Amino acid sequence: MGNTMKRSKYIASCLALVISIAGSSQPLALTNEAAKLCQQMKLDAALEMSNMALADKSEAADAYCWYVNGYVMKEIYKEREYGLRTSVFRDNAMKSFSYSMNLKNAEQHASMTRLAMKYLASTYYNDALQASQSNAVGAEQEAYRLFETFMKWMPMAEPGVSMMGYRKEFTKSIGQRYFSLWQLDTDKPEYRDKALEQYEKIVKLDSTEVDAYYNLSVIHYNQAVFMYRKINHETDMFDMMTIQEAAAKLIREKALPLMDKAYALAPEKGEVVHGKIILHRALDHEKDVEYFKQEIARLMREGKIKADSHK
Amino acid sequence: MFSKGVKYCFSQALLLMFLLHSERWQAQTIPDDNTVAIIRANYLYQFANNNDWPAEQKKGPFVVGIVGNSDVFDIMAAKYSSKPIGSQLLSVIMGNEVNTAQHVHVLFLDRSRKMDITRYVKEFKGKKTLIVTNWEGALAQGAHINFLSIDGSIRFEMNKAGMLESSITPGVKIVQWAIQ
Repeated sequence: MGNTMKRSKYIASCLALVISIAGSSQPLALTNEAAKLCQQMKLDAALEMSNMALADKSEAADAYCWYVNGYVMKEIYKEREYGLRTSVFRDNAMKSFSYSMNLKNAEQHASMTRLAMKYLASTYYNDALQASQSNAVGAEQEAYRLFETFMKWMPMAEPGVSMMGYRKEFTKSIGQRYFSLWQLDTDKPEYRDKALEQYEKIVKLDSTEVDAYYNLSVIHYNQAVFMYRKINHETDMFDMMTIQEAAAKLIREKALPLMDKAYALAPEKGEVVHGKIILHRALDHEKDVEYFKQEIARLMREGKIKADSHK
Repeated sequence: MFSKGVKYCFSQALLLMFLLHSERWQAQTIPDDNTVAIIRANYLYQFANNNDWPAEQKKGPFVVGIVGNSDVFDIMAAKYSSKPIGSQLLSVIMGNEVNTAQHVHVLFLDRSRKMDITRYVKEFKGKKTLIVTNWEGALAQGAHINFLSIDGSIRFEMNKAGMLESSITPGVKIVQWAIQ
């Protein structure tokens, strides 16, 4: 009852304000009032005023009217729904900004609008990365949905921007998710294969991606290690030798060539040099192990890597 | 046309709050398992199980001594210690504990200690100890079984006559899988 009264009073005062603004015949009066309310952090009132402005044909034809509407919703998102991946305010803010960009006087407000869009686009990207690291059911689909939303808006927010870096980082994140899932259950090769698929996508996008080559190598090596770990007192000698042959082949023909590619691209990267030590040790290449151990020592001596940073 | 003050404040606020997130790429952890040591340890267990020692050596623990390779020792101890070898239980000893004061059924001498081969061969002569090594030319120096690395796989060669001379009868599987 009390709330209804307050709401009635509020609407009445808004109407009075609308009438007084209309009476003053100031251009974009409703929009400017919405902007002021927003500055005062009266966000509900600002949104209501902005919606009224959009209902006014003359104001709605101006790009600034839609910009303010988007801005108010962006502020509401920031204040109340930041981190909520399904935020409707964020989606609607983007739609208003986008609409604003298509109006005839869009250029007057383009830089501000793009900046606001870039901010919101970055939140979609952050959310996509976070969702990609979650093991919850449906998280991967959500991550892709958020990333595609980011990919849709970012070029509008920053025309000409290269999206490859973002796509690589997102793909790595998805790969990392599958790698973690595989580590939790090494008997599920589908996770391993999906992780491999992601890193292979990255090297197709960029053949100089050291980390992707390194991770591809580590996945193959891990697969071999999981095979070795199963060898125990119950393993028949023939079975042990069969396992060993398969695991050594995996290291020799898959893991090592990929680590070699990573090393060719980054011969002074601690993790990669350490990776070379581990792989050569697995193949009993004593001289290579010694050589790369000395390389690690040299890199540490020259201050190029820190102690333990290579592990 | 409209309040410049309002517009100015909006753009300033935007500049302050904009931040594009970028996560640092993390390399996957590479497991530190010494896979060659895993294989060598299993071979030592297979040698223990698939060769035959004289009856007087089938009492007490079945002792495997490891010299110069802590990884092989750790894996032997973790995976095979106390496992039955016939009616005996496998016991793993390391480094300085390996001497002739107790019977050692299998002695693994790593290449990091190859300069000691002559001493060990001499000390364990006639003790019915199977001497296993992992470097080229070790059989000629008195080892009975020597690990070889072939395309990254660990295989082994053996001195069958030397084993028989030490009263250890090579098992069928061992003979079958040895590199001739």
